[in-house]
Amino acid sequence: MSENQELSRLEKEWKTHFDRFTAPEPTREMTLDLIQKIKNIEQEQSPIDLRLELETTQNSLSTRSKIVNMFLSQWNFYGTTSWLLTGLLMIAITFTISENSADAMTGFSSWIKWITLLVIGVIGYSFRPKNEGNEIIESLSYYPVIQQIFTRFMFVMGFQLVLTLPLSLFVVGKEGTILYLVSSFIPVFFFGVIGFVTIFWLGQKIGLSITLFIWFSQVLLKKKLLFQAPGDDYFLTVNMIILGISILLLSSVVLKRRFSVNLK
Amino acid sequence: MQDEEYMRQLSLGIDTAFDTLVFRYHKPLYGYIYRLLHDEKLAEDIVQETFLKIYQQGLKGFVPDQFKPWMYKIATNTCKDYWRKPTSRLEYVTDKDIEEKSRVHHIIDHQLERQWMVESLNQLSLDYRTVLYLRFYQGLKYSEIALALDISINTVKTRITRGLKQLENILVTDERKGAEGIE
Repeated sequence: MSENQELSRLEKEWKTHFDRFTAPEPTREMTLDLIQKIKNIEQEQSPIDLRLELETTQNSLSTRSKIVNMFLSQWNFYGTTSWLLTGLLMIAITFTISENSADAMTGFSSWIKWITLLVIGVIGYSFRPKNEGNEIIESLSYYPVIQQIFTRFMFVMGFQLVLTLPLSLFVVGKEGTILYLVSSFIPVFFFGVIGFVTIFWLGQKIGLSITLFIWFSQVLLKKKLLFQAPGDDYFLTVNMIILGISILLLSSVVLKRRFSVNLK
Repeated sequence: MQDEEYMRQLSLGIDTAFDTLVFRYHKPLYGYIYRLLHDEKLAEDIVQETFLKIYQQGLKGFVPDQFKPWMYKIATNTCKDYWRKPTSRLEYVTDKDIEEKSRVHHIIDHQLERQWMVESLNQLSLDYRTVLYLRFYQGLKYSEIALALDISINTVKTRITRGLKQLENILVTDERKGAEGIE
């Protein structure tokens, strides 16, 4: 007898024996209940699982990798092209003003005005709350908003300051001194802080409007207030004051965290 | 409509397709798992876990080539996962004790034949029992069993033959014991 024939014989013989091992059967209500349970579990599980997955991945990273990831995600958020365009704009403004100004003082005054406006523009653009790209969204969602905006602020300021300082020397030419460097750093820093803090507290539209209002008021005012050149009467006093205000405003960001903890 | 078609509908977001599959397979799947575990509550949990996995895979867009073997594969693996747990291993080892305890209940119910079948099947290894259950209770073809258990068709046939022969031996031994007892 072949193996297959033996198998058929055995199966025939044992079929009735197997029928005796009955099993309880679920009712229709149990089936309906099961369907509902499964759908509820799935609904509860999916968002938590995604978050958990992200948290686990991020927690397994070293602090150094976390910081690098944070900077990379924020850089991607703004986009390399945008950063390069900002740099090109700054250089273009610098060249235009240095070619068209009669002396270093006047040149510097108009240059610092346009550079600070550019800072405001970049802040307005890069602090927009929109997220782009699934991967970016996922990596961004791990970091609190406060950290994200602050990183972008550091990008904007760091990038602009690195360019502003050497460019200011180009505008003032031979007359470039430490004082000119300070006077180009402080207004850029001040408008960066104003933009960052107001957007942080009041949202993008109101924050940006306030920052632009301050900038326009300075440009339209006949008397120099914020944009002081080293030769001006109140150069040191004004710069010290705006630096102080900038630091105070920046430290208010810390309060927001405490404020939100208290609210919770 | 074919099971695979319902899975395709589920993958496209038609949620009711899953309901049909559960209505179609709740009873057979429950029977299969119950026979492996001998515990109604546990069988309910494993059935739920199996269908949950099927639902999640469907939502992710997965459509199996053959639904039935795939479903039994998930169910068998879920049972194996359960047995791998240290606490369940104890329960599994004491299966016979449970059967011993329930022996009285079965005798009272005059289900001696059923009881004999349950006890005899429990003497077989899990590999043999699984193929026999899928063949006799779930009505799967050899090729479907092979897919469900990730083994070749020849291995399926060999296991069924050997499993049934072992049952024959048990029957012969028990009859001899019974005859000796009467004498």
